[in-house]
Amino acid sequence: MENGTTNGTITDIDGCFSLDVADKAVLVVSYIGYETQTFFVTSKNSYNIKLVEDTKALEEVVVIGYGSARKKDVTGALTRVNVTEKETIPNVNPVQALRGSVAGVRVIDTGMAGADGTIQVRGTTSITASNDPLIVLDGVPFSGGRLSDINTNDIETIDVLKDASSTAIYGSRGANGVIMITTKRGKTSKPQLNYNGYVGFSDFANMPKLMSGERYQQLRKDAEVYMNQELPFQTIEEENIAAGRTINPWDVIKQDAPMTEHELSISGKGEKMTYYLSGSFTSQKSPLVGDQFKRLSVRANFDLHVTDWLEIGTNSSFATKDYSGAEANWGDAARLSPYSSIRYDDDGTLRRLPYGDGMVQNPLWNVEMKDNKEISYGVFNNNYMIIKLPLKGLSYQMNLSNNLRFKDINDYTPAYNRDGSSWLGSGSKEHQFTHDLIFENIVKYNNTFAEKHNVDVTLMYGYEYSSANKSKLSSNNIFNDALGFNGLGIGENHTVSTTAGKSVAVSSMARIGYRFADKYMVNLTVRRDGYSAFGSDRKYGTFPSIGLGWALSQEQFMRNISWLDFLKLRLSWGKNGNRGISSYESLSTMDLARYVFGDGGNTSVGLYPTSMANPLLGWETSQSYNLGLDFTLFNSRLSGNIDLYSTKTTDLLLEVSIPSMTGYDKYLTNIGETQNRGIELTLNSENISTKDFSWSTSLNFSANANKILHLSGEDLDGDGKEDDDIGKSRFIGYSMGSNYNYVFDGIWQEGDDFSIDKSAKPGDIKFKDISGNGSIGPEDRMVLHNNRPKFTMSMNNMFRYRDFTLSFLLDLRCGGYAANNWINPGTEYYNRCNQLDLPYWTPENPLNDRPGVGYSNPRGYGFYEKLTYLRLQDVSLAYSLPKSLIQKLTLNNVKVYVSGKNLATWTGWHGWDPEHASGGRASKNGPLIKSWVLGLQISL
Amino acid sequence: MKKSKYIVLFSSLILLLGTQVSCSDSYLEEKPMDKFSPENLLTSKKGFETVIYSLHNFARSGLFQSNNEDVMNTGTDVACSGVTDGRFFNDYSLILPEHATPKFYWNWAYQKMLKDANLVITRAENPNVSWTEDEKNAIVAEAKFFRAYTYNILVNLFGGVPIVDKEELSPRFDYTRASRKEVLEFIQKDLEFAARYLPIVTSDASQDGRIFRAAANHLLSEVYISLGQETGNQSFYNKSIAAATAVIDGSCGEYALVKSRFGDTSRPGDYYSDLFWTNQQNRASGNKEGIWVVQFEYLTPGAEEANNAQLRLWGPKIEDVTYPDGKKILVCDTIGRMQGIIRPLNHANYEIWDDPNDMRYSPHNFKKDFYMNNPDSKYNGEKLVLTKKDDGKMYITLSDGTITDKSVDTFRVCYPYFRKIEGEMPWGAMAGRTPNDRYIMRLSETYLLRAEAYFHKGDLANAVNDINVVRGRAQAKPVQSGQISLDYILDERMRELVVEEPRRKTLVRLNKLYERTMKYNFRVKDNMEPYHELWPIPQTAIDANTGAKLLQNPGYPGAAE
Repeated sequence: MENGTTNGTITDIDGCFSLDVADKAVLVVSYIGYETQTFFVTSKNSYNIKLVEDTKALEEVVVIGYGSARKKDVTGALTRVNVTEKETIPNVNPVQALRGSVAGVRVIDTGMAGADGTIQVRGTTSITASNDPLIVLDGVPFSGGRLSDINTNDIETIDVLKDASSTAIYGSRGANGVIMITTKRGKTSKPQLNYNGYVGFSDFANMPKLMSGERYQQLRKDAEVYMNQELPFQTIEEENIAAGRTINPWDVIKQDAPMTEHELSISGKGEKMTYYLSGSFTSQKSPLVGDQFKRLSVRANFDLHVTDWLEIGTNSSFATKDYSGAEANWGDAARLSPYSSIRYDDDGTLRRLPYGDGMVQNPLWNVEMKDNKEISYGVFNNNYMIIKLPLKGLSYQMNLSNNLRFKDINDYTPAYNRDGSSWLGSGSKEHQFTHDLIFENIVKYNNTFAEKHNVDVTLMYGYEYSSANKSKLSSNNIFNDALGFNGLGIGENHTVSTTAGKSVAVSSMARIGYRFADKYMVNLTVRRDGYSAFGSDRKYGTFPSIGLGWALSQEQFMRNISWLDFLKLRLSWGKNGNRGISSYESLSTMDLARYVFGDGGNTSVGLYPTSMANPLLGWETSQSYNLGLDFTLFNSRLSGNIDLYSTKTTDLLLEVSIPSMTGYDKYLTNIGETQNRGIELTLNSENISTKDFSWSTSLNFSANANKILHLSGEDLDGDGKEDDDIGKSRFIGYSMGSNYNYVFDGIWQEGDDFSIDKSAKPGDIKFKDISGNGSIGPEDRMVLHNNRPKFTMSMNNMFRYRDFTLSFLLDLRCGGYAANNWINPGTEYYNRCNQLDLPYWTPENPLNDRPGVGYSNPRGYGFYEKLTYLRLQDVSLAYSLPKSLIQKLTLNNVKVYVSGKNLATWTGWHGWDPEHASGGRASKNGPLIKSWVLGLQISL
Repeated sequence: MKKSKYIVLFSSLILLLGTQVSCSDSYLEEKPMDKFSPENLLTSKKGFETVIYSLHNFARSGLFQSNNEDVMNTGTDVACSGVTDGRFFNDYSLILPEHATPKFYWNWAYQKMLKDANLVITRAENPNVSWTEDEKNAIVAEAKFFRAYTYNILVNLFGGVPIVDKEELSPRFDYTRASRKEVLEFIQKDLEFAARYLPIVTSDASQDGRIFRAAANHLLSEVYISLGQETGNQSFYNKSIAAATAVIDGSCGEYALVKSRFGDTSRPGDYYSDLFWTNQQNRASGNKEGIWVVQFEYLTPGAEEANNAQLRLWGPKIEDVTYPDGKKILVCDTIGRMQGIIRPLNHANYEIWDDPNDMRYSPHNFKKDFYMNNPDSKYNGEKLVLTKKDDGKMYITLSDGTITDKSVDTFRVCYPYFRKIEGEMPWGAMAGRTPNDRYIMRLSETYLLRAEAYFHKGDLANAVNDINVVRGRAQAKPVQSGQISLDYILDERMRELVVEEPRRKTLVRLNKLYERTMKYNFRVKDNMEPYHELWPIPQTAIDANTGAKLLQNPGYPGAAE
């Protein structure tokens, strides 16, 4: 290939080629898996070019806890996500960059603008305690911070530590995996200015289908027959039926949803320093009326090499997040009669009850009638100092992370008086303040002896402090709305509430790594943690681990296998903890229950205990094995890894069901044992690679099987088996998230023999008499299935043709059932509000899979639906302007892109999105967002 | 040589880390900064009182499962539900161990009332509490009253239940059911203590709503009757009479039936209707009839969050009446938004009223007439009159005699109602709620309890006297001893206490639920069985109690065959 031209060729099978070039041309030689070479053409006519193997992929340095390592030396299971590859995808929150990108990591998007979602690494180990992984930002735990505090474009890489030997160095916080985020630093001596911006819009991704006006009217007729009672429509509905006016409730709660982001960064590298400065502004409106997110963030990363032996640096950021505004209530929207009138005809103001039914408030009510301001401010300041000690390879590092977060939540509901509803203004002001401090002392030693023996030692002692304070004041009966929530003083019934909490942790850690000839590796770690929130008798825990690695491809006997570039076997074992409880949970604490004696009397403040104390509350401990294989084949065209793991978690922080006669129905304690076993597969392949066209695919697959091994460990009912916890649906030998219920056996039809179920009528659900005792009772319940996926898989394909790049990511979740009561109109006010557009049993249409219209579900059946879905998650098309053109403009790179998120979903689930699988109409999580953006990147 | 230098260095570093760890124990100690715990709260009378206040709060929240139902009255001889699809005890076959209602009351009793009462009773024995013996006894007496009140509800819904008599400090899994008799005897002991140590009622308005000695005696008179019936020991009836007498004769403080108008007398009404208007239940209003009044209030924190929804529950859904021009009767300042959820049966609305001059049946206390009030309608001002057509439905009839083709559902939409539920509606008429305080115990019921004790004892003359005190106050003609029966007493209770009384509890107490409900409640005729007298033990309680079998009541799934 002649540089700067389109003149080029490819070699024949023997590697020979010929090419006519201009004088003094520069020749570029490239081949997959080998380094690209450039050389000047001299007067010689033939050249012997020897390609050098490209080992960059293997020399890649990944972030491990308290340091970094070459990927090929790592003995644990970790995966790197190159966030820069995803910079053309509109990931408002960095968590979105992880979604579908890493085998074994499941990110659940909850749909709201700027939402943090939830992350699970290798299934969930804990039943009750937090399953959130630890986030480490630039080497220090991001204590208290949320991923939404970080601008995605500031991130260089995300490394996910999955197995116990990798996470054990985070001891009591490592059991749920660790997400290591590294922000960008300056790389080139020439200052580089980057602009990245996009504008776009969003819409609802996957909405449930509600009944049309006609079906709604039919439903009411069927309900009248069922109830043997007239069920007249409300006046508003009758008027709208007469006028033929209907509404689409999803349109009612939909707004124009523009989203935009602008980010400017400057970075560079001097002789004694590197720098990276950035500022970004993100503004996103979700399609849900009233839901919006704005973030303004700045970041400054500096590394100063003061002397040969002293390096000081900082990674600091400041972010303001604005979640203000009450959003529309999707639960109410889902109830709306299709014959509602959202506003009054005369002045266009909102009707509180859009069709007159007192149960269904206008879904926009809070949006328009409530003033809400919710802004948080976060200052995240990580500083470090490294001193090289006068011994080769020995250094001391001090980390100090000092984070402050403030949050203000102000609410005001103004006075109202119309159509029989009246009240005066009321409001509240809340202020939260959180301070987190981490101080770490680290000593490192790394040296190679006799060329083959490498020793790497890290010792750490750390102290962590976290305090949170909150105060809230509110008042009502405010007779003048002019000042809103700043006028609370003129109201009546002022109430004040304050909370405060503090937790402290101390930890010490040692890690010793030994490597022989880059062939054999051993890593040993041990960490001891103490945490204040645990019961007085169990403050400390110790967490060891060991990792072994064998780079088979370095062995003499494998050197000759030409298609094998790299092969490494890893085996690790580790023990780590989950301290996922918050301050004071081991104590019996009390809550408020107020009362007023006498007419016009004052409030008497009552207190009552809300939990039983447990002085023995302590760590959850996970022990896990991981067997992994890393491979690179066919001159780096195919690479990937396979990991098999098995984790046993003991001393579960378990909220167990206890008889309510004790005064409580649950109790937090450390008992029981769960097991997670799984397989993860990651494959990266260069399918086609030519001058103009390339196609690469990356695929990740993970399957995790969870099983409860023990619960209370007791056999109180004397049946010879350890007791299950039926109240919490936990069964020994079954997965967490099991669905325990009666067995669906069709629908009772007219003329059937009803003797096994006296409560049943035609149109009701028929259950199986499992026990065979001739009647349906609690003994006929069993574990039906669980809500965990059988496997998840995602595939990303990237096509490049000349300067165009197209990529798309498909995400598949397979298996699992969750309850979705919404599909049963009988318990969802079939006589008063709209329902999902699904068929139901009637005498004329005697279905055998769905009950009749008023089925009251007397046994609390779960109405399970399958959670399998396939989603076209990310699509991106980018065009880089030709170098020849942009160089004239003295630019370095210009890229234009269009991309989309959550564009299509295929599923049999009928509720809100199967990703978060919230069954029911007014659930915590509602519609997911689909978005399209047009973006521009310029760097100079 | 070089290597040993490293070893020295590392071992000293590790030692250094070790010493740091061992110094750090003190700062891992946890002292809650913002939370009270029983240990730091229950050290003085004031601390114990906070738990008593929460008991008052919970006693109030146990009066209704939600604003959509009052199962103490639906599915009995007083009322069915105006919602006809079998919910709210219109269909007893749906009452299974998984049903939400038994679970609600069970958990309310054990997790709120009994837990907190036991907390007070157990921790009061801590010698380090700084209080006088009198203060301690008064606090314990109030806690024991609430404990007894709660067990008396449990025993009259579920039969015998597990007795928990102290604070449970760690989980227990081996509860078993005590017998009905054992539970009643436990209640008796608590109440006898309470009747001894609770204070005499005062005129201090800030104490309105508190528990006084009369409340314990009132409840005792009921529990002694239950014990008499359970044991067959007649002496309990004398004890019952004595306990009721202690309330009636003034030895627990002055109580009297209201016999003249009071409060807001500018309202059209009679003195019986004054008893039920907003802010006229407490002693501060001049009403000496209330013995225990649960408090509601508009806007004050601690009182408004549990507003009184009786209006919404008991009144007809009159807003659905549609005239031929398509216009409906409107919710307005005088007609709050009522939903027809508890539909009194014909027995309560018509059959029991044996004297047309009974004040309790006067237009001020029982509303029969409704008027079209929609100014947009040409029928505005018409009195709502219904005529039955051949199809059995009731049709709106105009003042000129025309029977229109607009039918009205007389089951949920149009029926007469007891005006005890009316009151001020500060949240607006659409809210269907009032801040009316609610009587849990009223002196007229004390008379009726004493009458019942006399009746069980066979002293009909005195029974008649007490009933006639209640009837006489309402200007109803006196009853003769030949007319007296247990059913008559139950009818009299209905006349006097409808809406106020948790009817289900009264009927179960006398083993009359099945009999009278089958007789008067047409809704349940095809689905109620004798075993429905008692509720099923919630399956959640049975499932969690792994250490012993908590027996299910007979007839329900899971019961021993």
